Amino acid sequence: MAVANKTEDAVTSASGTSAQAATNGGPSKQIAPTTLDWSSGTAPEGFDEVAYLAAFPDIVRSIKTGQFQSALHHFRVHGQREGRLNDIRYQRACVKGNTASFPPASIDGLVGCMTGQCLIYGWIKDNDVPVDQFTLRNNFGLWATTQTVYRYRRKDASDSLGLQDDKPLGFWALLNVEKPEMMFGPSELVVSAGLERKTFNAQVRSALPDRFREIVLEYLVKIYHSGDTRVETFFHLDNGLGNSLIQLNLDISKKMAQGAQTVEIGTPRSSVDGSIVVCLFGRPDLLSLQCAMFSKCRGMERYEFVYVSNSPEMADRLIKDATVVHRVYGIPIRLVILPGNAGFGVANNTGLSAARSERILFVNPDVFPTEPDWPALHTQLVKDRPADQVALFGVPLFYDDGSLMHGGMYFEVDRGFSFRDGKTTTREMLRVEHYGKGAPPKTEGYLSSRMVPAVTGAFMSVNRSWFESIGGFSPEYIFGHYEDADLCLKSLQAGKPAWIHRLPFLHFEGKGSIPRPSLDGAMLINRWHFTTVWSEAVKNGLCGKNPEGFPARGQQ
Amino acid sequence: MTLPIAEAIAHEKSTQGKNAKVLIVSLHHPELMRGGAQQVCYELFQGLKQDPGIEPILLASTDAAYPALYKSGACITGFDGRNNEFLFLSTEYDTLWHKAGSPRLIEAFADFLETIQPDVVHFHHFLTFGVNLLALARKVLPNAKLVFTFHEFLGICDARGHMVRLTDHSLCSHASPVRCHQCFPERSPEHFLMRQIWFKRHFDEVDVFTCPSQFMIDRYAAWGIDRKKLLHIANGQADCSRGIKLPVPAGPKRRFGFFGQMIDVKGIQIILRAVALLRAQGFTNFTVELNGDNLRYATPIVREEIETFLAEEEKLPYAQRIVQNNGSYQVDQLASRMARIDWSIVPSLWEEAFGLVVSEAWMFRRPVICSNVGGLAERVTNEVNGLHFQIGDPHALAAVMQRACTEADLWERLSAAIPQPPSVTKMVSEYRGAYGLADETPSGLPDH
Repeated sequence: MAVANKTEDAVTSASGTSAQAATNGGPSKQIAPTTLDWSSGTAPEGFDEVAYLAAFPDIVRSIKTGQFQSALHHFRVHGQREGRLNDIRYQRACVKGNTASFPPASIDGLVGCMTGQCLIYGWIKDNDVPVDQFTLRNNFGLWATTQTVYRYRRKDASDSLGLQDDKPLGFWALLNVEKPEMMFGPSELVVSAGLERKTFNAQVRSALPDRFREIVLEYLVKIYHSGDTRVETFFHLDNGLGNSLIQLNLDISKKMAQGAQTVEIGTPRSSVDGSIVVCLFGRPDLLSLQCAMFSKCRGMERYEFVYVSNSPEMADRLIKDATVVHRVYGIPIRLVILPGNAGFGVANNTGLSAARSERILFVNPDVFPTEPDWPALHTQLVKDRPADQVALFGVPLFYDDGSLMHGGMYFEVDRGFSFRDGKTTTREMLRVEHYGKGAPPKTEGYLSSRMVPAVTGAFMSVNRSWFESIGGFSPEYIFGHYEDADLCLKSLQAGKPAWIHRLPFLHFEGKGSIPRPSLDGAMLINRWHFTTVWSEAVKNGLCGKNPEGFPARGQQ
Repeated sequence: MTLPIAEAIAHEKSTQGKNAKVLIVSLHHPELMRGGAQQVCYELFQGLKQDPGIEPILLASTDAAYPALYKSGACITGFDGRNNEFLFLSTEYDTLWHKAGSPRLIEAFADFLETIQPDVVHFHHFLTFGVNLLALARKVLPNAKLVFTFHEFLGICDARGHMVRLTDHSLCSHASPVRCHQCFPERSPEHFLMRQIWFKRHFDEVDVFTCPSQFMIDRYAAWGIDRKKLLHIANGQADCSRGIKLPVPAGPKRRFGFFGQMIDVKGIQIILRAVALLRAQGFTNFTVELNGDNLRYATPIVREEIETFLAEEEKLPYAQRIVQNNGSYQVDQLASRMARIDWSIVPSLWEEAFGLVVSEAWMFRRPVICSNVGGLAERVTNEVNGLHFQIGDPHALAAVMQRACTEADLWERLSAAIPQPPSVTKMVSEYRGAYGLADETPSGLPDH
């Protein structure tokens, strides 16, 4: 049965009908049984005589010479002790063949990445025994298997099968492939569901690493959970998926940063009080808008702009726009073009290397000035305030409707529950909140200069040396979110808490980039990672709106 | 820029000495694309040419309608060898932000300004040029006077600058992020605040704004433009009657006419609905003549309504037909078209900035029946020199039409009170003032 017209393209059954499979002996499913019946004269459950002999041809010769009566005989005498059932040759031989009652299923796609991971997705109507293993192999040495299967709802499959209930028929799994270069030849995918098994011919479609990351993150947010989605996803991430995806992202973002190209538009200013580093993604038009607004501010000649693009497809447009901006407004721009999306943190770290000032301002492209004299005020502020208060600071940000969007950030701990197998499990998840979000514009308590647990990365002014000494933005965070809070906590841990100083800007939160499903997946992983790294520290005195050592609202 | 242009400018400089140079930047050339804004702009250009103290230069945009005008590699060219008339070959125009996006075009415009060195740069629109060219003009010519004429509300309103709500076609009194978002749900409120500050940032470069009607001044002042910078200058127009006085037939005045573009906001469909209502009431002793073009630019639903009505009308015996479509017209055909009507109906569904068709009707002493809003209502005084009806209401229009047909001496009274439409001479004189050249001598160059 084909659903969503994808089945035929991606995979076909390798061994024809179920009847054929049955006549071929239809090997039972158990690949590595834990117990075998030694006393019985019959083969123990899970023992595959054909696979055993196929895997170890020397035993065939021994049987021919009469040394052993059968494969089972050899297993009883030597095989168990030698761990032959765990031998990779036996396992590979074992996964051939189909069972008669394999449920209706479709493999809709296999996407592989040269970093050594392969995503499998499709659907299966596995009513009683769920699908529990995928094994991918081919004759070129490819071998990968996993028993971790994620399920999601597939309305198209349910409708096609005429099912009324909302059972999650969809599945996806992530395989780590030993020899990724072998992944893209004709392959076989063995799908197991309890004792049922079916082998599909498979062709792995190649995806570039950043596209592969995008696809996997989109699937992450689809995972079906019967309870609290965040908690259940956290558990999946705990079980290796989180680190696996973070590692994938680290590999990608590192490569992106290494591939950066810098384009100089206009003559750089001889000396500047600050370098404004702006990370762009998906919205090239914001460069013109932002420069137009900033160019009207008095004192901008003492600041420089470094734009870092996470969208390589925008390169031509950005160079044109920057050229126009320079000609029209007189602002020189240093444009750093990355070959893919390195994420907010890594892109800003990369932008830093193109900046020339000791004072760095990380500014989102959807942040606009409200105070025409802000450049001089900022310079004065950095000069006049004690160094500890300006090592890392943010500013009050306002929405388009005039209300406050940001007056610093603080942390809360959410506790979620999971109910499985009659047990209740709890999971803590850190949450980052903004002081005064939505408050009237002149709510003094949120605007005054003060120490805060964290500030948003939408506008962050840092001392370059200090920023570098604490390692800059942590590269583990995918795309964006939580790296700003992480940076502030690193700064706090190193002895200099974040501050907020009264220098208002507009922030059209969330309008600086193009939303997409994978971003939701990245946010989940980032929250999980942030929780993993900072949970103890937050619980140890940083939790809540008024953590110890920080001034309460209205106090300086 | 091409050499012939530079030579032409050099020649003009040598022959005209220190005359104040006024660069008029026009949305389209009226001979390439018809429209009110470019017509007024060209009238001004022609008028300024008669002024001994001023050397006007016209830079009119063109677009893909005439691809052959895009000479290879050129951004600005001459126009049919005419003195001081140039074409701006618009390309890579960003329609979302109304921004010039081509570095070559930007450079060419800057080069053009540097070559001509105008004392006044008078933008008659930003459309097809880019609102960012205002900032460029200021940067290249820091001492020049920048003048900008509003022809509608495109800086305020993204719905073609008509300030008609896309939600229910009602008139919009003011823009706001949330209200604009309601008209364009796919764009966020933040987008519209960005749009507002983007436009204001560039309008900040302008020294003087002009509007052809007072209500526009109020609207732009309420939006945030400094009222002191806003001037009222009516759109002048050459007398297209050329002194011809049309005969006034005796008896009831039962002939109505429509002049203008056959697009939604011009409201031609309101006339047709009014005709249908009157016909249904048995009142059929009148005629309506339609004069205009561009029905292809109407929305499909309005276009279908108009086409269906006209097709049904065609099926009727000639004696029973009320509406006749004469199609497009040139200025020199106005006299014959006006001779066939008694009243000019201007049923616009937006607040017209000025209404050149009112001036045209007045030049032939035809009273105007118009929507009771905007520049139309400001120019036509109800019951004095014309009649108003409730905007968009065919019942109200039908009642006014019936009265116009039947009330004795109404036409004569209103026609007699029709004022003289604004002349080009008056317009030029007022723009002189806006340019800071009011004393009409070369020494009156702007002191910016």
